[in-house]
Amino acid sequence: MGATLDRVDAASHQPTERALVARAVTDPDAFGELYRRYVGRIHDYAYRRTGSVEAAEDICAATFESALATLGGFRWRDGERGGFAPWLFRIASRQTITYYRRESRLSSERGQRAAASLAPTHTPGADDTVGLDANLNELRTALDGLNERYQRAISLRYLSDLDVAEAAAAMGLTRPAFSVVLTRATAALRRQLEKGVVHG
Amino acid sequence: MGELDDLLDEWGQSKTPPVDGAFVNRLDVSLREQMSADDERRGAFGWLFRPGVFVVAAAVVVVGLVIGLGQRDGSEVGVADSQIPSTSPPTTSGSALSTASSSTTSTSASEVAPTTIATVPDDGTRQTPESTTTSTPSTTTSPPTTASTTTTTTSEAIATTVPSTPDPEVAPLPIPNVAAQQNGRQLTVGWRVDITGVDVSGWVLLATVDGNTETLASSRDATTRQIVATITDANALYRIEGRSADGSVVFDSGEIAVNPDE
Repeated sequence: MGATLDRVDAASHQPTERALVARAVTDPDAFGELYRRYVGRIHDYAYRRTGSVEAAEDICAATFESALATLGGFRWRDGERGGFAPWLFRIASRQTITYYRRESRLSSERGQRAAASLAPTHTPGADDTVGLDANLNELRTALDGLNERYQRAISLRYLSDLDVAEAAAAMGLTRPAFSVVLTRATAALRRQLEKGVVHG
Repeated sequence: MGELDDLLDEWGQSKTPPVDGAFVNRLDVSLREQMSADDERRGAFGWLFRPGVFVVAAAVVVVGLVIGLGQRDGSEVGVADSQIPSTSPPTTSGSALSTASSSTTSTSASEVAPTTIATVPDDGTRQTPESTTTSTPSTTTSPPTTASTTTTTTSEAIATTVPSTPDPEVAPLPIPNVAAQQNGRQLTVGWRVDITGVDVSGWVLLATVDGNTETLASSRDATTRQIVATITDANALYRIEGRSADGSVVFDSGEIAVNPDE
């Protein structure tokens, strides 16, 4: 533990993230530090995806709870597929999918009328601080129509602040494979948007 | 594609509200409580996993066994001993175990042996001086685009194919617009493809004869849209592959129909 604590970022004099992650398995303060570093980024990602502060907070909480429960199994890998941020965003993207599944199930249980108020693009509080953006809502609705892998690929690439290599790692893919999936996902999103225009 | 990419970029840069401080603090407290609860749970049962406990437990088991064996009826031991030679002679038993052990090790090794994958430097846009043998060829067909043309004759310019994956969403993207023209022993293949966002660093023209596939020509320029090669077998089947820097196939034309020599 001592050697780990000694590892610090020369520029900032902060513990390196790798050392922090190692400590965070058993040290609440270290986990708290990681939490504070990432809570804003995860919140922004979830908010952009859902357009709802409430949903973003739900996803945020579920992400860090899951991270806390599974951090012991996290293994830092050198190279393009390693890193804590891709791992955390991977959890966040899955929690977002879980959130939508739950909302979808609830909305079907409560009937068509309730669905209108529970659907992701119309969640209470949606875009409540930045104003309703028709384009974004159209994109969100179209994205909801894609399979979960495509949703995650597009969300991680465009809505998170991860770079392409990190987004690929968050998907558990190599960078070339991620680029292929993303190309298919974007093409599917375009078709979904066109379908929306035709049906709308 | 460009307009949608722009829209997605705008979405990614759209304004977000600040995270509610009360929410951040609440979650922080909740996570710390969760960690404390986990620690307490670990502490409550942690003694079970201390080395000393294992040693004591093992000693108790050994003592128990010794006592148990000591109290056994001698005739039972005799019966057991008498059965040993007829069922498992010591030498045969040892040999069998040894064989089984080495066999198992061998199987495991072959199962986990990593597949050797050739790689190329991580700079896909560089030309390969040693592999380019001719300059821009005369064009006898109408290539779909005006992009650059490269002719190569080596099979080493681009890394070999990574084993294909059965995952359809990761399978190579199709190249829908391909044209191939034969002119004597010269084959000119041109194609059109949108590579926006796709991690492609070079192109390979493959020829398959009697099930054997080899690289006929290749280019390390991602913008290449035409390859000219010399035909070595009249019965060969051709395809174009776009490959990433690590050798993954990201584009695949499938079998190309060749316009015959006029």
